Amino acid sequence: MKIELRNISHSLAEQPILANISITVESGQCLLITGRSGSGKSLLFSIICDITRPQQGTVLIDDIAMPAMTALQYARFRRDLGVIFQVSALISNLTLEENLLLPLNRHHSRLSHDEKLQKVHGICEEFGLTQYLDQRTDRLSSGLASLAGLARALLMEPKALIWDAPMAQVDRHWCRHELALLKHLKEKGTTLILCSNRQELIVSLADQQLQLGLPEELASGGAHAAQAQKCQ
Amino acid sequence: MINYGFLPFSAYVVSDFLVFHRHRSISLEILLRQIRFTGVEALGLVMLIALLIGALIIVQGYPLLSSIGQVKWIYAILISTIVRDLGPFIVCFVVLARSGTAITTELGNMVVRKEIDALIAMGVSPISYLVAPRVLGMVASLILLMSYFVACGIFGGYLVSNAFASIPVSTFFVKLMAQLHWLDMVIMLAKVAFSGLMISLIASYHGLTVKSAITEVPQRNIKAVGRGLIALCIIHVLFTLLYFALMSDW
Repeated sequence: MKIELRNISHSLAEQPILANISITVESGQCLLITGRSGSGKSLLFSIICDITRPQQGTVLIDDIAMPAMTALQYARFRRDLGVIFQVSALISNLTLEENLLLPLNRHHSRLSHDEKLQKVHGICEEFGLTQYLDQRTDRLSSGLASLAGLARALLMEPKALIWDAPMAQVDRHWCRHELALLKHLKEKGTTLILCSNRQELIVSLADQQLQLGLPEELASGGAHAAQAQKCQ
Repeated sequence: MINYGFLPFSAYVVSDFLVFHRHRSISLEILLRQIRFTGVEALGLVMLIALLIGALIIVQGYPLLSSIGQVKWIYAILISTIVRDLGPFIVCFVVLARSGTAITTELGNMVVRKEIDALIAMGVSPISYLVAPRVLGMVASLILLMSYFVACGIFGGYLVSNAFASIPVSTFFVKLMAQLHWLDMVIMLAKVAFSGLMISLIASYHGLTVKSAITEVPQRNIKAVGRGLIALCIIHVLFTLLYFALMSDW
């Protein structure tokens, strides 16, 4: 999935946070978005996921602007984009199994219930979550919930994965596992967009890096607001 | 979370009912949970209130009416209070206080915990998945609770009226049914159905308009209860006026 940001600008409470950001992530490439806290990484994340519409500019998916997509194209975009939030964002009054079944019920209604359960149990085994399948997700620890959020995104075998703060909530063992998983996804040709401050861990994966500046820097016009660079 | 007004929001939710069958695989569970929470788990509370009110009407009314030799009016009073006016208002008020606040709190917390964002990102419409089943569940639950309230209220009235004068069950119900007009039932159902619709729409709207802070949730809850109460009063007054207008034409 090719993702292109074209002249994206957005302000919050009349303070410009993102100014004129343009970057293209070709299919199978990895973009690392970095910047200090408050620089707008999560805002840009939510714009790319189409949770927030940008005040100016457009996001294009496979060269089609989001507002111009047909209902079918948009449903495909939703199915093919895996999203992992900074917080686990699991539906708290559902069990882990019900949480994982939700996207399958939405996008794979033709699969039988047993086939869906098989997929859910398979991914839970991979992430060591099998024993928590019947637990409500608000009773999971933050580390386990973070893994469950990752499992939910990967369950749909996305063509692109966008991840806000990867490796932020898990222990060293799962951190290594997540890094290996990202490498595997990249090899498979999945487009990756990672918003992170821990660039030392994932910079080796990145084809491009987008460095966001702080809003004060934007206002003063001093430093570069957003710098895109190709990684070696 | 949502940045449009209450009317467009309501129109969107109501239009979503028409396509409920399309997303029933993900919404049916929420609908059943809502009916269980609002319609079934509140039965005990509603039964207690209904029995007490039914009994209270007889305790207060029977001695007064018998002192002026007009005991026959006790049935009309029972119907007017339990079925048509006080009963529907009390049931709706209980549901507003109990389930309306629960909906606002739950949806508000879901916004804060980014669960709504996650639903959108999965391509699941929060209106179809969270709001429409809650609204349908609330309307169905209120009709269920109201039927229960009427049965318990009349039964409470019967039990207490036996303390004043021993009346056979059949006589009590025959006299009661003679006073009951079909329009009483229609107005009662219309009141609770419209109230259920408004309570759930107002509660859901206020829950989903929480922006990002957990401190907004109780503030939105207070607003939802206040506006819900105003809506209840307006709906009940309008339907009571409609009832009298229709009855005078008869």
